Amino acid sequence: MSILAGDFTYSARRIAKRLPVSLVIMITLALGIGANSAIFSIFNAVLLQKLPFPAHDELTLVKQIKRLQGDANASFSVKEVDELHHESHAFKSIAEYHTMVFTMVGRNELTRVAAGVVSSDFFNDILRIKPQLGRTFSASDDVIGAPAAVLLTHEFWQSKFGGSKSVVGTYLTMNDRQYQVVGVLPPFPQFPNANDLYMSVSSCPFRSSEFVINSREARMLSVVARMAPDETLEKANTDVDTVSHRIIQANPASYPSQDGYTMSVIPIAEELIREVRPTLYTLLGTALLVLLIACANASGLLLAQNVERQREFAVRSALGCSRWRLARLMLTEVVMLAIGAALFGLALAYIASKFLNVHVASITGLATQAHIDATVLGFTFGLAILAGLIAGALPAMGTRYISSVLRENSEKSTAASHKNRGRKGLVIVQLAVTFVLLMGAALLITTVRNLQRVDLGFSSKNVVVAEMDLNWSRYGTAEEQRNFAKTLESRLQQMAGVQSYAVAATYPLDLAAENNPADRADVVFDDRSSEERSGRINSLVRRVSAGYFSTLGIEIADGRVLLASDDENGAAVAVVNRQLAKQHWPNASPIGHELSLDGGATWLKIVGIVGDEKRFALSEPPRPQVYVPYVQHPSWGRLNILLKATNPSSYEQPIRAMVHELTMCRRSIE
Amino acid sequence: MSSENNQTVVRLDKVNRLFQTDKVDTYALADVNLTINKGEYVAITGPSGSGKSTLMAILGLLDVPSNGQYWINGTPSSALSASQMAEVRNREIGFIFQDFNLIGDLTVYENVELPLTYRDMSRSERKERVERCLTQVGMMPRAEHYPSQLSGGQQQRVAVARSVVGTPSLLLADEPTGNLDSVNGEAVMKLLSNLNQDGVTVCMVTHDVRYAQAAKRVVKLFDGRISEDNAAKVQAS
Repeated sequence: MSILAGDFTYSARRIAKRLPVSLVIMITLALGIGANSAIFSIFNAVLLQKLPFPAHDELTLVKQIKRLQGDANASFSVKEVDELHHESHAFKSIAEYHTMVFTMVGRNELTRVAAGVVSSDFFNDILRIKPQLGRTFSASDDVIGAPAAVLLTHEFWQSKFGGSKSVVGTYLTMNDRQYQVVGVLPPFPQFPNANDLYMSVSSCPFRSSEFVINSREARMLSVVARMAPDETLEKANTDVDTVSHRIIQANPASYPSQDGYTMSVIPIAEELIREVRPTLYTLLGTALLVLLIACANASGLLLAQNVERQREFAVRSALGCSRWRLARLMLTEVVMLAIGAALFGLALAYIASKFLNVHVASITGLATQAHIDATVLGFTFGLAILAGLIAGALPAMGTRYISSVLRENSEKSTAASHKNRGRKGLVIVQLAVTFVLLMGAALLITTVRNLQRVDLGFSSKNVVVAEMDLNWSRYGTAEEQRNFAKTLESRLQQMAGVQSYAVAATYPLDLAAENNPADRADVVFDDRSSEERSGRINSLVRRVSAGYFSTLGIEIADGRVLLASDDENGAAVAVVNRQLAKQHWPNASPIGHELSLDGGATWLKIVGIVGDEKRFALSEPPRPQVYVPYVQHPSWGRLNILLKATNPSSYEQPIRAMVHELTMCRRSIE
Repeated sequence: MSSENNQTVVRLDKVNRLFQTDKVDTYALADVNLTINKGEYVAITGPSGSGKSTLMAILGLLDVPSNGQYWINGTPSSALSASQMAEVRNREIGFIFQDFNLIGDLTVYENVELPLTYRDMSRSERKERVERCLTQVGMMPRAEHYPSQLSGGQQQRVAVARSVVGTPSLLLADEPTGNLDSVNGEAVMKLLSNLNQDGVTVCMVTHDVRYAQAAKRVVKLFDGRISEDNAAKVQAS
């Protein structure tokens, strides 16, 4: 033992004596180790650790699927959740969930607040989360008419209330209504989305409205359920399938056969990691390759150091040091360097994981659980020792030729040639790994270049977008929404230097529209028979003002675009994109034809055709889109300002001030 | 020791050492026969390139013969694995080099202790042996110094202490006075003589005729062959 201690002492002395080189080796390894530790901390939290909920194997998501439309997230209505609750037998508890955006009024500011609206079982029977302060929701909070109650997330409590314990019992003003804070939640991986606070179902004005409660088609809820302890996933799927069939048979009008409605049950754990798994494997693989390069570099530096140690090794050999002891001595030093590198690496990992967490947390809430714990420490030091052994292996193997230093000169050249072979091997490994990484980088650059060449169908040059969420308590009716949009337009018109502007419910590549049913519709056409109408197409519907096309530079292919005169008093009109026109009138012009977005109840005259603008992704092929005047089809929810000017960033403050003046909240200007 | 006279420490039988290069084969040693008995003090001399260092390398198990056989304390070197050779070097052979070859990152004490750390020996026993040897060469007061803080003569005295700390049966000294002035050279030679008088078998390579004469037996090498060996004379005397 004292011999081993002697090796450590000697190695420490050498490291201290050659500090600059030692630091270079440590930092080289630290970069690789730090990158791996940062990624592993998330990998560990997301893919290796069990969900931090009691009996997590029982936790599932129930999904309604429009199989024939390729829609795996059709959501549930309140009626459907009630039926699932009463008719299914596979679950011990079922809870509903949806998100809303509220405007919280503070002393000097308005804050956009993401609220998860959940039934009481969500925290009690399903996630089984104990509050950090106060209480969670009880069954009485679910009853319509109960006092409005909210639970703060740990993060929101810390950031907005400074972690004050006296917050429980106080009231928050959101969308002109007061909500009592009944408790504070501990940190937990939020899903399906991260929210600032949680609200009982009876507290949500939208969820507790008569329309939402009574309409089978008002589908906006997710369903989270805890299986009964003796149930299996297979039995649960059979169970919800039975319920789904019964509901569809009883209400055929609400479940068109061409949609292929069905239900399925999936484990929450799978849902939480499904999207992020390939990303994490790729990141970890890349980081390991980087570490391999770092090891090769460190190994090269160690080999260079060993040239000056040849005589020392030769003397040790002459004095009876075996090859193994010599290798152990060298590896002791390298492993000590690697452990030093691990300490540097942990510091790097701590910083890097903060950035990585933000990115991965947007894909899975489990990333918020990532931190440097015992497992990550074990991984880091294990990796460091492995890296040290890899980096030190070649120099240690070289010791077998070292006793030749004490022999004839002619033999020294033999040793040198062996060493050269080792260095050449190192260079080959470095080149090979670097080549793999460079290929990956080249592919990435090519992809980015290709994406830059993609015809977007619009121009974002000099355009600024301001997102806001209408306070539906204040702008609940179509008239109020229409008037507000008009007020915004008139205020934008008065701004000096503005080239063009528009208000619109969605804008190109706006992911918020992807999952919003209000921005989609099944389109039917006037020149199709009722049989043919069953083959209707699902289209994105953009509710925009007249300036939308000029602001975004969208090509006018035929006819005209929407005009300011296409208001609530004008004829109902629509503009379609080239893809929709080509798909349904391949040999004729659609201009003058009519289309309906509500199954034939009302009809809109097609007045123009515009180019295909990308909807949600650069890689997607052109898809059908319909443009309608916002003032003819106003709605609550998101409203965006698009403004084009020579110096668009200078309008950030004026827009912010205008919105504030109009007592709305906007969160971001892009 | 089984088949050998247990007084024989070294026995070389028709030992050759061939160095092969792309263009030419060179015999550094050719048909060398040599026997060194326990307690002998042998000086190996000869001009540069005569094979002295190659002979020392083979005697020290740092090299192996191309042909012929070498027995050390009755054990054929050809029967030893690399790790067994290391063990024999550690237990049976002490080395003194021309340029001292102390390890710069180790103190005087640690340098002398080094051969013992390759054995299964207690810390207290190592300490006792190291201190005894350092006292013997007069370097105990410098035990915590590093080699760079010592003169050449002091370094060689430390090297002598290191070579004998493991109580070897054969002490190989390769030009031990080559880098020393005459005063220090004399001092080292006196140490070697004392060690030999204490029973240590010494085999020394030297160019210096004066120091060679200090040995009881002189073996002269020329072109890889033993040209002269006064063993018989020594035995007779």
